[in-house]
Amino acid sequence: MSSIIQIKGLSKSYGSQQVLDDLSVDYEPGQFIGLLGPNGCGKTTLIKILTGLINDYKGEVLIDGHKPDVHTKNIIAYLPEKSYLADWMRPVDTIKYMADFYADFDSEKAIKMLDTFKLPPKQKIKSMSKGMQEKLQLLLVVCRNAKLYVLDEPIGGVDPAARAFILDVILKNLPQGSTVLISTHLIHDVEGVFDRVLMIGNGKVLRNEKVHAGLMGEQTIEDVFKEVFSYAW
Amino acid sequence: MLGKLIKNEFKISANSILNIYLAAAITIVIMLLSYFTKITWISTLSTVALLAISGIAVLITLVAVVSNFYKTLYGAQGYLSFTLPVKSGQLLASKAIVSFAWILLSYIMAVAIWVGVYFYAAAKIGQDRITTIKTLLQLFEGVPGEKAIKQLLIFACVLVFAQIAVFIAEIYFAITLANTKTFQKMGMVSAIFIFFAIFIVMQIIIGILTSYVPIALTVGVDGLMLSFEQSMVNYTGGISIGVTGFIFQIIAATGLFAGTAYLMKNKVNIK
Repeated sequence: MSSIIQIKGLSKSYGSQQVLDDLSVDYEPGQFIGLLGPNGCGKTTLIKILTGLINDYKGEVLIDGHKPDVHTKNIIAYLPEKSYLADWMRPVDTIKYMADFYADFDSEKAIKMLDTFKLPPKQKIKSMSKGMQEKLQLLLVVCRNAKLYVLDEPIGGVDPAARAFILDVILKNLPQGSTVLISTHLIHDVEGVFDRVLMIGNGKVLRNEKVHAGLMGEQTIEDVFKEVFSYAW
Repeated sequence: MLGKLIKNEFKISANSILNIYLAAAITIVIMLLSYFTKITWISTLSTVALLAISGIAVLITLVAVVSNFYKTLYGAQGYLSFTLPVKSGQLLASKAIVSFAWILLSYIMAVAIWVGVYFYAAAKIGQDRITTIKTLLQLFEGVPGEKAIKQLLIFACVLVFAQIAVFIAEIYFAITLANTKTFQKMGMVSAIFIFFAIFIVMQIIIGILTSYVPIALTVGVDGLMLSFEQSMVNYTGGISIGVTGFIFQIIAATGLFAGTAYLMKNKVNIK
């Protein structure tokens, strides 16, 4: 089976600060991959490179056999950490917008989900709470039938109830056979769903392993995380 | 995809620009009502307001064009724009086309307001301005000829179009270069410096080129003609308009757009 994500010798620096240092990984499709590491370890930079937001890097990055380009943007559904929607837009506008550009976007499902998420279709984003905006962005991502979902800290900064809701939405709505790359440092909430974890620190791959029922060998992912990143504290 | 990008770009920019056009429309209605009701103070006030709006509209449009480009590409909305399945050239083209349309519309509105106010004022004091303009044109009968006047008007339009395109190219390039690794640390201040640097360099090149490659349009009875005279001392044909700078600006603007597309595709870091 051809790789969905193939990275060889990826390096990226901001001035003198080396964020990613000769990073190499290769993933087959259909996995739920946890991208783990403490804050500032390069998770978001790696995600930005995969999604085509950063282009000046060294090394080779292939998504579904292509360098980040129009093809890869077509097959990636990306949920950034930030709120990226224009504040004058309303949920109905965002749904039309996504349907305009992504052939795999399911508008009917999105309209139904507005109701489930209790999001008023015609309320302007600028008058929505942060939580409502996050729900809307999540909805726009899970209503795509993408090959690869890249979710940057989707459960960071929300309460435990919201975390459970977000994970439930992700698990129930993503199509079979798709790949999910999810970055987080809240491992306890998600370790049960990972097929594989990639731990990065100081820009390098520290652990890249398959997991079974939230375990890496005899240990839980959280235990391994604490062990691997103890240096950071 | 370009069509969809343009459609959405109009929607985005309309939000920040359309209010000023609405203000102009309301002021015009007030002006016309005061004309028929003959309430002088309202008429005077609305005329002054309308003239002010014409200038403000151009200014607001220019600010909106710059701010929309920055916000939708290099602000938080850039996360959406740069992950759309479109080529960076298409993204740039859609923004340039829509910005061009808005700036042109604001220019047309400003000119229309000034011409309208002129005729409005003339009508208020009972003058027939059409006859005055015809008389004025008769003074120039012969040189330039009717054909030359038409060609001059077309050239003036092309000149305005080109100036708008050059402004957009310079500002887009400056903002984009400011969002590459080298300049990003300095923030938007670097965009302002880059913009003025480009502007100054272009003026210097235009000055040099005009001395060494003197291309001009001369206005005669038979219309406009190209001239390559080194010195105007030898030229006795009437009005002459230098076009060397104009040609260079078109070439430079094309280069700046290409450079912006390259930077967007290969060098930009979205924060």
